[in-house]
Amino acid sequence: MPMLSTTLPKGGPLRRLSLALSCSAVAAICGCKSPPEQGSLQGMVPLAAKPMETADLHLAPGDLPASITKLRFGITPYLAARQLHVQMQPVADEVGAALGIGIEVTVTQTYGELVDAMARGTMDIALLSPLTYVLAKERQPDLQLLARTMTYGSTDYSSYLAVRADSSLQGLSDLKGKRIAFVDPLSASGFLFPYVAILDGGLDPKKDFQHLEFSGTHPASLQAVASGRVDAAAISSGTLTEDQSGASAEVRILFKAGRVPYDALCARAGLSPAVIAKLSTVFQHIDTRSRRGREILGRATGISAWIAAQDRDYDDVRAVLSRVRHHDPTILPLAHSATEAGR
Amino acid sequence: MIGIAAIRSRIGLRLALLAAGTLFIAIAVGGAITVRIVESAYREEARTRAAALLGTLSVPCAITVAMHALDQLDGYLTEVTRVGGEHMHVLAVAMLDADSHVLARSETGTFTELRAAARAELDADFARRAVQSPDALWREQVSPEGKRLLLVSMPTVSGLRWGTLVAAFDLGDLDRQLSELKFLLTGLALGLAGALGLLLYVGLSRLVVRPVRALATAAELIARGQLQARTGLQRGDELGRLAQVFDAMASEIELSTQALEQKVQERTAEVEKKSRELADVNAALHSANTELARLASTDALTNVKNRRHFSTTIERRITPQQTGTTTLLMFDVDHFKALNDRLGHPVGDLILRDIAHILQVGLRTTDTLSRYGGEEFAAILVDTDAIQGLEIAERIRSAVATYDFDHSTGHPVGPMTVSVGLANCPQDAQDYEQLIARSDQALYQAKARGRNRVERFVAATS
Repeated sequence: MPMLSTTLPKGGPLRRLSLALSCSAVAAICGCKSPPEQGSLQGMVPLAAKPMETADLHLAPGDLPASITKLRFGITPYLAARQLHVQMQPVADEVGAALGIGIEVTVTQTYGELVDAMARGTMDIALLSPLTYVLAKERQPDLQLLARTMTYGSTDYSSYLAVRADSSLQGLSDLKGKRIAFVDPLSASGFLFPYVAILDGGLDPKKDFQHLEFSGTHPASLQAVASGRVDAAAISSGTLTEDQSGASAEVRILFKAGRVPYDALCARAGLSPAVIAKLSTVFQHIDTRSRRGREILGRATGISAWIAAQDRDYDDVRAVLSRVRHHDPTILPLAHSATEAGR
Repeated sequence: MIGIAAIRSRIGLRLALLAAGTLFIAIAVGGAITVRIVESAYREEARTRAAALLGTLSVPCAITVAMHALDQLDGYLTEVTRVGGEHMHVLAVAMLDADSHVLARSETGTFTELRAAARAELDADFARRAVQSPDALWREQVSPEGKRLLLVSMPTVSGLRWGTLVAAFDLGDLDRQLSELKFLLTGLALGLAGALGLLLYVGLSRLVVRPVRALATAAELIARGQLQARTGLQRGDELGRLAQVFDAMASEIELSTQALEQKVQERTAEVEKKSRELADVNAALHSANTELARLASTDALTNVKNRRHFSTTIERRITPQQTGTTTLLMFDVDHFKALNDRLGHPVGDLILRDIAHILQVGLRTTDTLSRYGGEEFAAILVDTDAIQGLEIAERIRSAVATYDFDHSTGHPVGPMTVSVGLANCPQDAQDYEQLIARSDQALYQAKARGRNRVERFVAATS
């Protein structure tokens, strides 16, 4: 109050001055720094990818020993051999053209055969299923990973335990005493992952099932559960997507057993780093983004691209494998002779 | 102008305006800063949400592009725009490939036809930068229709970079919200400032202005002389104390003044009394003076003027400047000595008194009668010529001669007579000395001619 009463008599000039100051302050605040018009937002892109370098891919003299005139490309029999040939030949041709060497495609009879061939050195490049890769790597630590497959735009797929849509089964514990179908002991999504899921659910796959069978293929597994022959079946997510029979409409997913990386593209030990590098690069350049890529890959395979991979990308599979072995050492023992055919 | 005068004359109003003005400015400035900050935050929020939306679309769209199911992608993007349009103001979404070509767009129609059209609409520069950058980009701009837009880009990645999503968001709602905020703040500033101003004005009025006015009014009344004026305030605060002290002071002044007035009245009464006494004394003095003057000029015995008065009068009357006519009569009582010897002085005095009386009666009020000597009388007749004078003298002589002195005195006086001498100025004399001398001569002549007669001066011819 006393301060006000001494300023009041001089209210005129003082007041004007303070008003002027305030106005200019306000104007300054309002007028100054206008907001930025553009920029970038850090850290908001999911699954940010590393860009790829291009290089001259033609094999140079000396990359391969003079005795080698072609590279042998082996594929596991996950579909009928004829189908696989049709699908993969264009890829082989493209790779061959880029490298300047012939690529011969072979579909082996069994998974084991391919692994052995790679170990023996009779196969140069192989497209292995995830579990097969893990086992092969165990057998042959020098096995070189060229790339991993992207199918339907994804790097991984899911493993499911499926039941009929009208089934009363709600949880894993409900499987006790029921009939179950797996695909194959060498199938990650069709056996390994569901096995561990059942273990985690408190059941013992060796004892707690009334009936356990291996149906051989994923579609067969799906049919088994859809028809009601079994109460539950282990299948991959792709099986449902690709199903043409309508069986996929009659089942529902009881439990998701995990995510499995797609097939691994590898080369045998002994190939020079230059060859390995060029092979990786040329395969990784084939993808459905370009028309040429789409022509090469076709739609039937579902393969979208091959992308850079590291061995640790398959560590999830390794972890599940060791759990299964721990539970039942007879299943897929170490140094498992791959000559045994998958049931 | 009237308003400014009103403001100048009222403390309450000035303080209230000052406080209200300051508060308004403070709130306005604070509000402006707040709005700036909020605006920044809103915009950043808008960008983050936009990027988050596109981020969630990123992987599914990547997969769709990987499978080259572009019709499906068209469907996704259209649906996103429809749903997102309601809540997030999405205007359009497009998927670009590495060469900034549009693979799919959020509208129905085959993508081939749309591709060419769409290229024109999307900001070419932004699209180019978006497909080249590994990060999400954003840009604010104004559309040709005047809409404020936010463009956001998001690389669609699944293993590989399959493309880039670009979306346009409408910022109009944001702008509207900010406008509302500004209005609210302005309203708040005005409201609060107004309320404060009013409160302050009312509060000051009650607490300060009223008592001060009461003090001023009381002081003014007292200044004008109404000493009984008081503020009558009974408050505990500083102004209350001032008012009470003021009232006490006023009472003190009133009492002192009353006491003083009383004293003054008393003194005045005293003074008046003294004054009256003085006046009385003066009057007495005056009458004494008059009496003295009268006595000084009056003959004690006869009560007519005395000789001294006669001299003064005649000297004054007969001056060189005097143009009028004046007649002098000299009376002498015949055989007065013999009477005194026969009957004594007391009787003689009585005779003189009677004769003086007769003379007085025979003269007019304008005439001056004086006792000139023991048995002599002189009468100055103003504005009277000799003829008139003679008439008057004769009448008087006759009156004396026929008066019954025996009766009036109670003694055997017998008949008494007077002799009269007459002279006129300017006819018989030019100055008063001459006049006296010649009337005296005339008297002598009257005596010489047997007494009991009137004689006028006659110049001796030789």
